[in-house]
Amino acid sequence: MNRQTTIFITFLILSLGVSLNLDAQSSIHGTVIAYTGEAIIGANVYIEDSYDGVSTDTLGNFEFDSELTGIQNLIVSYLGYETFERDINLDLELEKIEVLLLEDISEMDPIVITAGVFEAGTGKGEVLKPLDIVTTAGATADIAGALNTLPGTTTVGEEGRLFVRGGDGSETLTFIDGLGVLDSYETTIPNVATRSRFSPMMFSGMSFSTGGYSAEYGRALSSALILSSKDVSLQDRSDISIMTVGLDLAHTESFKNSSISGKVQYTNLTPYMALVKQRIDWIKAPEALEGNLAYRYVKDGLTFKSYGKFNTSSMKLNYQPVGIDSSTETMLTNQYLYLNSFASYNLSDKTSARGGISYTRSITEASQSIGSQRDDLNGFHFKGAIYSDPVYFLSLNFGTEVFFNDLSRVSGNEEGKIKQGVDQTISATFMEGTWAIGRKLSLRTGVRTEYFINSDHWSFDPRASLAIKSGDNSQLGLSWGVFRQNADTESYFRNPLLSQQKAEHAILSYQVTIKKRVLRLEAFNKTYNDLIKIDSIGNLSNSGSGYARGMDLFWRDNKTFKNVDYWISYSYIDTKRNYRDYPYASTPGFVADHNLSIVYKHWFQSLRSQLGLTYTFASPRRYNDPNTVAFNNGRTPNYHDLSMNISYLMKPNVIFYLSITNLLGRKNIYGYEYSQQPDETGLYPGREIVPPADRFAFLGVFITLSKTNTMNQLPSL
Amino acid sequence: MKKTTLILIAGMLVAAVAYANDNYMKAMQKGMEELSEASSPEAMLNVSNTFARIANVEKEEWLPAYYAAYTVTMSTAMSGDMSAWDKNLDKADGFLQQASQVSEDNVEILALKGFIQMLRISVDPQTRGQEYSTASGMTLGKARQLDPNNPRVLYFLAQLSYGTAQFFGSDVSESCKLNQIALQQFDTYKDNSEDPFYPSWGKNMALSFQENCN
Repeated sequence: MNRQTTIFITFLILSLGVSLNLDAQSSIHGTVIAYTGEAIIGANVYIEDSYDGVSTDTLGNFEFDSELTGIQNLIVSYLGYETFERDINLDLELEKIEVLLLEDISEMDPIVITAGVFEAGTGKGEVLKPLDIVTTAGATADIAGALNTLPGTTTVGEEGRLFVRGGDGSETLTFIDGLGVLDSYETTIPNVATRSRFSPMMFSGMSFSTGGYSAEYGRALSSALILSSKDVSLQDRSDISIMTVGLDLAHTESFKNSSISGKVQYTNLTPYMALVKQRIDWIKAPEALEGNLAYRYVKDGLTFKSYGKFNTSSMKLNYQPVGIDSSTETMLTNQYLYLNSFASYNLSDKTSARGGISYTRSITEASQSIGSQRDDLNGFHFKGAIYSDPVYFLSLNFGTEVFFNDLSRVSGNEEGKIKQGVDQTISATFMEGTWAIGRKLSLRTGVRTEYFINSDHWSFDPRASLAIKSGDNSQLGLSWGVFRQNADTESYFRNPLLSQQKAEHAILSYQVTIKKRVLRLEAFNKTYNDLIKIDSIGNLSNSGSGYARGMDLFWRDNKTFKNVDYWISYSYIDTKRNYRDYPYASTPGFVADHNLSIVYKHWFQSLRSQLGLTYTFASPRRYNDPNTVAFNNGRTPNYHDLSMNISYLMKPNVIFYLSITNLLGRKNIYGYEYSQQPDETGLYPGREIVPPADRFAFLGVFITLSKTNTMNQLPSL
Repeated sequence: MKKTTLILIAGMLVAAVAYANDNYMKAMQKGMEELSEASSPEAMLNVSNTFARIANVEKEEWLPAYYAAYTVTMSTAMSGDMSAWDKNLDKADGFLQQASQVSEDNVEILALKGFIQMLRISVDPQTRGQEYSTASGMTLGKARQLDPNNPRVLYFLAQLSYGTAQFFGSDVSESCKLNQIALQQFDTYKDNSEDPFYPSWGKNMALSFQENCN
């Protein structure tokens, strides 16, 4: 080897040796504290791309050595805080490093707007889980029935629909995956409670809004029931339900990225009506056949959901109108089709687009020997929208939608038929932004623009909600907005130019969680305008108005008593309307000033059973007795109901369920109805509106067949 | 001369690579020592930081991220404060995700994933029981298919089925039998990797679980 090579090799060895030289060590030390001043224990302090590092001790101090040289990137990371980085020069003697960590807003639980909203889902913030909604006694697994035990609702036993904060049953609209559902309650005869067409089993999340809801939802004056259908099912399963009211069979096949579910349901109340005496004279008790099909697909940021339901039902009874001695054989049939397709796609990390279309078709026919009436309802809803998070403190939601529905009514008999028809089209756009202002404030502002073709009217409705984190476990909320809804379709037969009705809501809410117990207080004030009014000669106009104000209280505790979960909900409302045929402003008959619900659930581990009890109280409702001069002066007695249900887990995949409403058999009177014609003495005959039977009992066995045989229908009961 | 130089340079390069590997081994060794000494939730989290640092550097190895996940999981399981469980288990899942990107269909990663799912049940058994016991069952089932002899998989399956049987008041003897097999496997299991840091934990947990069966 020549000398040059020797020097070169020596140099190489020396340089290698230098890099292996353990003498060149730097000491890196300092403290890590949070922005609020407290020391951070267990933070990871290290040099990027090296093993060198250490965890902070109980005082937030750190000290470690490194053999690296030159400028290196020091990183400090800790869960829930923004990662800290700083260049340090290891060739110099290092001073103590003070590291200040800022809370990571994106990782914190976002402050969720809660004024006027009850959300049920599986996340952390929800006050209720879907399981709660569905194991509530008295509801008999009906969504509307269970939601009736929440504040803001009033019990209207003969209807069974949702009546929210002074609004009538038509003022709540149901949405499935953001798309509207028309005629969402089963067809029933007047004064017999109905139930929702949709089983709670279908939904993974429910948001029940008693006012002040997002600009995304329209056509509902008082409340929106926002339901999210379940995602792709991970397992194959078959479900068999044998009940006192019928039978249903369901099957779900799951594939790698998708699942298909189908269900066939047959309901026949004949055996039940034969056993339990009813006040209705049935010739043929209600019977229905239904099929449901759902397809779900999720892959790589694309979600596609499609759902279809077809239902045909019929019933026949001897109907006796008020004040008439004889009864008329009446038949009621309904065919219902609902189709809903929804897709969402992640355009990027921060933006997703979604859209869908829903179609409802409902044909209802009521026939008697003297004549019949056939209603054919068609409805379309198309919606396209985008979510975007352009910056970390702002979320945007905007979109456009079109609603179209037409109703045609044919009434009469062989001698003559009258045909009426009306169609309505609304197109709307909505735009909403949710702003995270600091760590304690969240503001949602939005506007909804609607164009109602029938009255050629543009409306521009602002909505805003504010949520303030008033403490570690408490939140204050404020909500305000303008809401619009067309009058019921029948009104349009008589006056096709009617404008939409309008409501303005203002809600103040306070929620505090005290060691897993939740207390919620809300106060609200609503004003109604452009309500439908009928004048003395029968003309319809939008000159009606009204107000509703009151407060709600909600307390939920599933900690104090072992295996016990209970909630208490109380609502007070003061409302008057001057609408329809009211001679002056008066409290409507569907309102009870005071509503109280106490829901109690107790799990008995040794018996593997859950017992549920619900007590509901409502103060007297008003009714109008045409035999008196004053309007709506009648008062029903107080309403009391104690209902119970028992779920018994016979085997891991078999559940036995019993539910009985009105255990104590109280004779509740919902109101009075009067004949339109006076009798010979000049008095209008009237009668009580009472439930068809004192109690409704339901018994069912639910069997689930799946590979692991540990699945069951408990979450849906 | 040139040939000698080349050999020398080649030799130094090999030494450099060996040095780097040697660093990895040293760091892992240090981590394992810290792990064996850690007995509190806080100490466990500190150990997870050590493994996280190694995982940041060694993007081709699954074990550092796996151990980071393991230590966060153990720290969580030891901690009484359930309010932080979900966040910490999410962190553990994040490390497992990192590990599975390096090593797909890895029986140890799946076993730990199944265990994390079981832990999530404890946060809210009433609501989560159904969802997470099914999910855990599926994860552990997949792991068992990959390697029917893995003791950790067998032990977790025994514990999961025991919990379910207990809830429904049915027979727990099958679960106990499975745990016996798991205990045997802890002693005889041969992993294929010959990696000195291949997971070998869990026997103590299975032993203390076995006490429920006696």
